[in-house]
Amino acid sequence: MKRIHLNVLLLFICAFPFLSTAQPDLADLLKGELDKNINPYVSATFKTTRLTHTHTIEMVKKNELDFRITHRFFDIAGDQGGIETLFGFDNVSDIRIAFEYGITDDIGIGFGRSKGGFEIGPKQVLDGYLKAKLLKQKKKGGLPFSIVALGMTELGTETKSENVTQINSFPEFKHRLSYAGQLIIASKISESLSLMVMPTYLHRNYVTFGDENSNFALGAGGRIKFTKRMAIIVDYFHLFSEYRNLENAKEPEDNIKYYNPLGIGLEIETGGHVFHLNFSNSTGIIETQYIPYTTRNWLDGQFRFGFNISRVFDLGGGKH
Amino acid sequence: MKQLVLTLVTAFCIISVQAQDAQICKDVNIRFFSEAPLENIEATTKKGVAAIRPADNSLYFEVPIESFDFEKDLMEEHFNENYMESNTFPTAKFNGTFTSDIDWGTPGEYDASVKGTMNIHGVDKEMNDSGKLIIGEDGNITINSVFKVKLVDHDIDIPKIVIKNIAEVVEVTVNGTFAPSK
Repeated sequence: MKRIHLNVLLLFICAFPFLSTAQPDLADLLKGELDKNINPYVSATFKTTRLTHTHTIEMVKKNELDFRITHRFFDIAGDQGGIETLFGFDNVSDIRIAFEYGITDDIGIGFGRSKGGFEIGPKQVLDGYLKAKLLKQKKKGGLPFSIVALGMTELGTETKSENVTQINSFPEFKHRLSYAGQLIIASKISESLSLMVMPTYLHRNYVTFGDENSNFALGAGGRIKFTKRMAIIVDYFHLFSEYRNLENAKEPEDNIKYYNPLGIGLEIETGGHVFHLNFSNSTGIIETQYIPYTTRNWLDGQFRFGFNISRVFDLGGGKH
Repeated sequence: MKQLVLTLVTAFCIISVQAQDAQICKDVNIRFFSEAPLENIEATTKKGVAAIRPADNSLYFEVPIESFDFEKDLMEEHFNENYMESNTFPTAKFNGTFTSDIDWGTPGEYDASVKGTMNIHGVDKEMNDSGKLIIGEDGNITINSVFKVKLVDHDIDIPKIVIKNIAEVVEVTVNGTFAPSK
């Protein structure tokens, strides 16, 4: 009897290391490997590379060419809008045609041409930008936001004016150039809410009398999804400019007044495309235009309808 | 004495069964394909993980949804954001057992059938499917299987506006070569 007990004990001792691990959960066995295969970074903070005006932290993907047309009509209401102009559809305040390309998933370049300064500011402008994703928001733990750096240059190509008070008098070639440097700091707060702030430095080599060559601007923007496929997008820039404060305080009323650009849009996603239907008081499309040269006022009905068309071509010959 | 020998033999038997330890695969290839009137939809990943334990004929698969690679990035984004909601349901998994007889100790090719629970988009569905299972000379297992998944089974919601774009049944192909886990 005693021996049987001993034997049973012996059996357990021999088999114990195996019995105890006999049925480990296969899922647990794979946990480590699975974690390695899961992308640690947050994706799709925004749907496209732009909100209504501003760049987002989204990039054109590697080897993809984004052919992009951005269109802004004229004032919907106010003294130049209304039914006579079919709520601004008779006029184009700006249009930009551009090619934007992803060198890698985190570095992109773009070249565009736009009509430029509807009221003031250089016209017939070429622009180029370099955009780089510096830091990426992580899903859990780690960095709670992403940072993208953007540098852009504008070149005014219109014929030089003989009137030296004009912004297009361009004494030297360098006076045709303007620059903007921007950090875009964005966070996907939840599936339906993404926010960003954009500290921006502007430098224009040639400005009208009294205006500053260099300014800081602070932008903010966001997206609120209210269904899986529809979102409200908003962006705004505040330009710090003593000159503009003084000009705006001046009488008479018919002087040019400056406003901060505010864009509000509806983002609609269908099976294969993202549509933006925007309303904005700014007439310009590129940073060196819409930040310093917005002279239309929402409260006077001087906002316009705009849209973006984007067609992406894969130049990589299949998947990277 | 006789009993002692018997005990040791029994113990040894348990050990030898357990010695056929679980095999795992860290790079399961999964491809899905659906033919649709406007454009075919195809995506692949090599980031699935799987384990097979001959001892109890069990089988487990798990794949990160975000790892599926599409030809078009926008399609990939839609797949994750709208259809699979990969933020809420980051992986798809299958947990099941082999129902056909497989002689784990003998190299060869077997017609294998499995039974178990497929979890996609957070929704469980009982499945019976079959495929090929090959046991190599070195004892390592390779599996190949093609099966169909109905989107409606997993509450994957497709808006009417794009319904023509997306087939309601997708064909899934799974390939993996396993090796002992340690």
